[in-house]
Amino acid sequence: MEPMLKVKDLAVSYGHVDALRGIDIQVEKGQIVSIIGANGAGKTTLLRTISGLVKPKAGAIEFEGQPLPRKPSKIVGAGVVHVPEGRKCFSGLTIRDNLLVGGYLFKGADLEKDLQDQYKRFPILESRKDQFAGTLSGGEQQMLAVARGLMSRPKILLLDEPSMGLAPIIVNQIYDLIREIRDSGITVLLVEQNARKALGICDYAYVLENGKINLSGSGEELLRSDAVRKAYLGG
Amino acid sequence: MSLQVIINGIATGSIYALIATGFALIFNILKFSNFSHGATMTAAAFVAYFLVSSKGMGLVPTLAVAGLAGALIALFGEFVGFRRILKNHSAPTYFFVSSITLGTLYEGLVTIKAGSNFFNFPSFFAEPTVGVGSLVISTSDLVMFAISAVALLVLAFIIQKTRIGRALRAVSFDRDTAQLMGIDSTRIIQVAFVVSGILAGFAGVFLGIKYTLYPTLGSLVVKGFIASVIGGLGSLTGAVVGALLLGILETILLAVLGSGYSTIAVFGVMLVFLLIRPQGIAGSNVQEKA
Repeated sequence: MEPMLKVKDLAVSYGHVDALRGIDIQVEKGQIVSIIGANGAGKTTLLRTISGLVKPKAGAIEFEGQPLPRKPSKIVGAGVVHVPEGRKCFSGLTIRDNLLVGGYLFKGADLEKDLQDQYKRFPILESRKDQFAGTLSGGEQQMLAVARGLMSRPKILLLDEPSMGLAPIIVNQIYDLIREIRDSGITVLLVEQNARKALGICDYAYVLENGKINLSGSGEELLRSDAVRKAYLGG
Repeated sequence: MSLQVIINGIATGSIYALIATGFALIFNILKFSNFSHGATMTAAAFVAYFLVSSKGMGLVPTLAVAGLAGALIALFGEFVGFRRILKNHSAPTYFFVSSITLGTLYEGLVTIKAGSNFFNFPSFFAEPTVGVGSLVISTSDLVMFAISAVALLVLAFIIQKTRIGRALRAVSFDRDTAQLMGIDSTRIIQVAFVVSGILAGFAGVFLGIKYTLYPTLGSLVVKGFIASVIGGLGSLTGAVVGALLLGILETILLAVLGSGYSTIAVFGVMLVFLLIRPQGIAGSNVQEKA
């Protein structure tokens, strides 16, 4: 079967600095695929390129067998939704408005239904819906960022470091949520520095080093691999 | 007399509020000061004067044409002056140079067409004043206040309650992230320029009615800048509050000190205000980019 998302020989550079070279990635529908790597390896650049915020120098991105549109707003419409690193909630907008902005492409009864669905999934967001997003804790903001992403009705959700800066117990909640999202039929492409967590949850993973994919395999294979254990799991 | 002064101040302040919000709207979304805003006001008011009011049509068609002209000029400015700079992530200096250049260009074009003459809008009202109890209010002040208030309320409603308003706020907070929600930020920035241009057109006509129309009328935009800085750059509510305060302060000082010293005193008070509260009235609303 054709993979849902296919990145072919992708290269990105910032001025004269190559950020990504020869990236080939495939994401099967219904799976969680992880990309792990150190700070500065190019993980965020890869997601930003898929979601159209960064223009590639070379290569192609296909989604459901079609070339992915180039404009970020069209990419969201196609069902590729990116929850950015650092959550990036609109801190001066209320929680409700954050969610409604997430559902920007939808209107009327559809939008209202999606909103109620997210309130059902995240009761904390409903109980604080009229407060500014900036008043939420880090973990709650991550929930809001994910809920806002779900409001865009993704077919595939790109998650950039959802565990960043969160307490272990909150990280576990977020990972339960990621599993739940996958089980609801949404494909997940997960970028993480937290290699143990990411490899533990995923069906397939890629290791990104200095802008190149150096290794790939199932989560279990990589957890057992010496190279990964030395570099990312502390021996 | 004091209530009379305050009423006059509010009338002046409501025009400043139109300028200040139009200015703050662009500052909010692009994080730079659009110095062509003043010349946009002048140019839009002149277009309306030559096309409509000089031909004997009334205030409503004049405002409609001025708003339309302001919107078109602002759209032109966005496309020619700012879009490429924004896409390039260029330094703020480029916006500064670009907006000043555009402003000078508009002002130059107006001067070519109008010379350095003064033009008077025809009097739009049959009765020059309205008596309310012991108060005498100029009809044009009253009408300008009413129209400004309605325009600002409509704007507040759009920004707070509508889909496009939410998108505008989201883009103002974080352009990239807003795009990840499917918002076409270029389109939303155009919307902001259109709204800002309409407000500029209204303000230009009102200033023209109040003071006469001349090619450097746009320099009064300084009052709008000041108002939005006092209000707290980036906050529209702050801009309106700042504008009303500025209008009232000006008329009070004018009544007390006379026209010569009052101008100086206004700027003096503003400087002192900014020394005490540099973030403006609503300063906490301004988000510094980390």
